[in-house]
Amino acid sequence: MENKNALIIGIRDEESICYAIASEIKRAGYNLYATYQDQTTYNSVSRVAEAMGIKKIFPYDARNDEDLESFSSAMKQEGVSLDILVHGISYSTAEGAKLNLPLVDVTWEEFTDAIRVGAFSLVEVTGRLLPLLKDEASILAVTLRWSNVAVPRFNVVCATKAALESIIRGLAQSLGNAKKIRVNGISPGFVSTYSLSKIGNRLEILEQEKEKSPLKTNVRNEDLAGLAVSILENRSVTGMVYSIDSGVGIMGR
Amino acid sequence: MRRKNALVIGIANRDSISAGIAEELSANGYNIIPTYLNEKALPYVKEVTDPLGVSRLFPFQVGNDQQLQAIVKHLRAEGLRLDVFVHGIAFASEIKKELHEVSWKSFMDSTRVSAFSLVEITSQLIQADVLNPGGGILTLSYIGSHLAVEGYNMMGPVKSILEALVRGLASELGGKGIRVNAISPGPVMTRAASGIKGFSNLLHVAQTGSPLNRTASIEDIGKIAFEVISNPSITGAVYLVDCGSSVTIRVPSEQS
Repeated sequence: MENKNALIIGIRDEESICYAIASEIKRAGYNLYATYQDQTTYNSVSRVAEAMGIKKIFPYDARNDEDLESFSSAMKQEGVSLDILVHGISYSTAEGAKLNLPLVDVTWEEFTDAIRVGAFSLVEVTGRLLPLLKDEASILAVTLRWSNVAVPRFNVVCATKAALESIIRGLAQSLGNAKKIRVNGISPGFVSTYSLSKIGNRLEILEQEKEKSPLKTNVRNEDLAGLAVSILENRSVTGMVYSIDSGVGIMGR
Repeated sequence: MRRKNALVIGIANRDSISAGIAEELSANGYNIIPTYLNEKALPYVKEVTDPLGVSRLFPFQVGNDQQLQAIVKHLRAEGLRLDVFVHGIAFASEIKKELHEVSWKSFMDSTRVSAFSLVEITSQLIQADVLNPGGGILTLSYIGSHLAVEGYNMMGPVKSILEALVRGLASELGGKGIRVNAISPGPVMTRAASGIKGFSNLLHVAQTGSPLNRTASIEDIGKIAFEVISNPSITGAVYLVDCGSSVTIRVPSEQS
């Protein structure tokens, strides 16, 4: 059987959305490669890697030019060609990130870090790894409904996700042209992750979401992972952002 | 009655969309306070502002706090307060590249000038307390924020950021009675647009895609802009003004 490879950028620990997606990709028969942000997350990512049988993990902090350089050349040295790339990083996972500020109090430096990590890194990684990406490879990014709305004190995240979704469409056009590569996003409702705890009390947020849902459920990790793999492998889907939120987004107040 | 004042950043010459907006504001009795990018641009900006009776123009480049403070100082010295701030600036050094070839440096610079400057300038105007409650802030976007428009490349994501910032500022400044909106005109042949690869083809596509078979005029764009700026019930909105081309798929009838 042909060797199928997937690179996952965005595993932090077993609660990460990317962990659920990676597990499902693994079940679908792909070899996994992954990144970790820095030394503080190395332990949890290598623990996950060992348990899942991830072939190799690379350090990549999307804020650093040097990291982008060393990570992309390490990937090239590895000599794997990629069928799948999953992008699930955002600045909210960075220590000390000041995202809960009104826009007028956010500095330009903080803003650019957020945009680079949560959105433009998708451009940078795909640009650098383009020689490794097979023709008809598939890319998936994890976004959030906040791209379309305002959330006072978290509007930096909103701007980042808006940029990410626009980049999904732009890359679907340019990479489709270049190598028939497809680029999509999934926009999950809230799930219990480390990132969610940066927004507030996880249990309270999830309880409120459940109340808003017409199904009175939260999104299950295995469901969004199943959707992710389905989108990744569907050759007629590109430039899309599919939401999976137990119907929360369709409800009026 | 007190004359209302509008700070207009983004007039390059008579073809600029910001020029059309300044003219409409002026026709509605606003005192226009325009900026110009540099000495080279000044005579072309004056071609727009002289007929509007503007006596003072201010040099302004994004990130130059001293220049912005000079405007603030002038407002205070003259006892003027702003009712309107029009943000009509954009910049992209690698617009001719495919998106996946664009460097972070170029994307960052473009984001600063074309998007985040809206936050920076607004923030400084508020800090200096020269923006009146009930005031309207308007910026200029483009449908490339929602659709991958060939040739528009990196500016699509940058305009997405801009529109998210419009919603964000609107949500946060509503308590001060300040409204923040954008208009999103169809393609207009401006100096900025001439940098976009295949722009005349884009104009053609917009025209033939419109059920009206034309593109938006500067005058009509100016009128919608003025409505959005002055209507107290509109905030956080992005209004398209493109003769319907972005909501239409036209299909040529079959030739026999």
